[in-house]
Amino acid sequence: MPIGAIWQTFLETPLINIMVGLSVLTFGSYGLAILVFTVITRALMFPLTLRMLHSMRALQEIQPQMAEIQKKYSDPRRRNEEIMKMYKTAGVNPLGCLGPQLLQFPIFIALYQVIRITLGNTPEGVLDLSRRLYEVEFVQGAVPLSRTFLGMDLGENGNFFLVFGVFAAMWLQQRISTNRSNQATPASANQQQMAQMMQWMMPAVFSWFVWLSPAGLGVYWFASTAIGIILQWMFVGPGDFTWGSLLPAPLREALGITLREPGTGRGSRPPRTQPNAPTGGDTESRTNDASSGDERQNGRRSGRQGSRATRPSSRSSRRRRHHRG
Amino acid sequence: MNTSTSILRALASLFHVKQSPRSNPLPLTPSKGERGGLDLPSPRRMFHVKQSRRSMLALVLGAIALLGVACGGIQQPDGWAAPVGIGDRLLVQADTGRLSLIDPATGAAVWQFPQDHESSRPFYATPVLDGDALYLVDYQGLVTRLRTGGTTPQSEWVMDLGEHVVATPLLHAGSLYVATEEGRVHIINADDGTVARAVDTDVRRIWGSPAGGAGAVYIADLDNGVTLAIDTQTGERVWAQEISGPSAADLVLNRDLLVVGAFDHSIHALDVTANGDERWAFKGDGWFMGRPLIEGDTVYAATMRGTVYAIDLVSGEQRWAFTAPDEAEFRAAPLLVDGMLVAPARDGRVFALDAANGQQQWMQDVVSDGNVNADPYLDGTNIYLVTSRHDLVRVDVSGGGAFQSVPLAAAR
Repeated sequence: MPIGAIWQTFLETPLINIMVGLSVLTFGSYGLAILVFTVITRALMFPLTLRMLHSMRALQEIQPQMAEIQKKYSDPRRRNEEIMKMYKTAGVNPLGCLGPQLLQFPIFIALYQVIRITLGNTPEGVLDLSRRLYEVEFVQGAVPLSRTFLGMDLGENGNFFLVFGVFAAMWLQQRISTNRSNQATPASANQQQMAQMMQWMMPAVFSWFVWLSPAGLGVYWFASTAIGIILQWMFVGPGDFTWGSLLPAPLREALGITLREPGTGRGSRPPRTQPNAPTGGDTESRTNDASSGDERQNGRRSGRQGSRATRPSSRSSRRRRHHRG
Repeated sequence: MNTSTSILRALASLFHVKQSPRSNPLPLTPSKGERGGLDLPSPRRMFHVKQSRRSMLALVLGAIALLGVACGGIQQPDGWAAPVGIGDRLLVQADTGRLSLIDPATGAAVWQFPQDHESSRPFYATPVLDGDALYLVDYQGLVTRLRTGGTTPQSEWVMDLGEHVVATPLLHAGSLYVATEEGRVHIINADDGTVARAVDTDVRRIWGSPAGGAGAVYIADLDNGVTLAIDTQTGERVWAQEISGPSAADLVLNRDLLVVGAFDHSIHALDVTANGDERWAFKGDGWFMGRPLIEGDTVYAATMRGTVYAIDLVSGEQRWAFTAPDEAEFRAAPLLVDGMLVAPARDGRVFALDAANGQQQWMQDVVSDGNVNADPYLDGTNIYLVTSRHDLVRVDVSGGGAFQSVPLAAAR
């Protein structure tokens, strides 16, 4: 079976029928059907999302230790080993973030196709829907679907308000997931630059995409992002983000709003002192990088006792270790 | 979390990393034994790349490209206007948005309209011929009256409605009734192109050609499943019926019976003398898209699930049914030729059935590329089919379906 047929048979066509069925259940409103679909998909992916959020939180917690390792080891091989060791100790799986996201990608792409097929941006497109519906009275009787929702034509390109909403939601999500307390550590300067870039670039790119796509897809993206923000706020926290930071500085001063100090917010915990934290004395230093490489070639490993120290003590990470088995 | 961002973030977390000297206050000098980041056997080493803005930019662009490729290919409107005979010539949409008057024997173009065509202005509405006056309405709502008497068409008037038009207009009592996707019916004076009245019907898309009767015009809509009658003098609504399902088929009026093919898998027969009360409804196996054909006391109609029905006009009882094999789909209207019902399927197969009992007489696959969405044009015992690729095929019905492609390259 070619990949296109598999995609159509097992993802696209079922999704078309689900969306048409949902629109019946939501009083004929396709916009409401998209919102219900978003909630359902996010609920189904919640276990994976939760795992991802835990990973994110743990990653934030070990940032100071990561910075220490970056400073201590100039040998990339050794540095990488230490980082991997720390991931293992902390119960962090960097690839764990990918699960729900990779799962969302095909759903997003399929939904794009589904909205186009179900709403049909051309007369030919509307008729093409006939072949894709199951022989179920419930579904067959639902077409053609209502295209309007909150004053938008869901089959036409997104309007300004939707694009702005998507941009704002994505910006906010980027902002609360970027822990600015790490700006204090020089080792993460690159990452911070990258995060700054992504904070504006990704919302801009996706807003542009929503502008050019059917508004229904923008509704899904906005709702999904909003749910993501809520989950992130609940399980990871807003970091050092405060609503007051959105205001211009003069207005903040006039209103007497003070910003949260870096590292004081939930999800932006300051680095903890680790009893077994690596110190310059008991780990290899930059001056013995070369020898450590040679020792490895001879089957010897150096400095192991000094590199086993970065274990976050949070309950969440302990739970996670348990989950991971 | 949003999808792409988190993927990029996760990937970025794996790209640790040799800090660039600018970002790291401590000097990073490769050791003697270190030959670079890509030569170690461990699979982890594949993540040992230099973290830079460029790599992140590449990832972002990659994600955008993925989205673009996956979500690309937006369908463009093609138009399904049926061919129209003008004298011994044929007017066909030889290219998207361009009509050509051709010699059906050779395919040579006599003239084309418009000269500077735009593919965004295809023709769904079949041109309406009245003497040597030709009425054209494109998808964007541009209505044109041409005088076709000479060697080149003369434009007599143009009216831009600014609304999408799929329905073939109705020329009735000196007025052109143009129904739009926005649910309005524009009543245009056929002589000078002035809009006498624009009737807002409170319904949405109208795809089916209206039907005209004594003092009233009937329309059915696609979104709300409403069939209604409009007074031709006042533009007021005479009656409205919601018993019929969403309809995209051309309406057919036979005496006092309005036959409506609908997406609720039904053919509805409404009594126009009794405020549109339903006399009967016939349930088929799929959407009725093509215009029903009434001959004598029989209604012939075909579904998009591949079944052709013969229905008693008076009682609504089924006389026979023929289901075409291999998932045929009928969008075009059937025709009656020499006692045979000819039904072109969307995939290019043409079925000829005995009109009396539905027995298949012959079947020919006449289209190699493209689909048949437009109604066929009947000329004697020949039918002409135009495809979605804007090719033209002539099929000899009495000759067992012998067919011939008419070259249209010169007409494009």
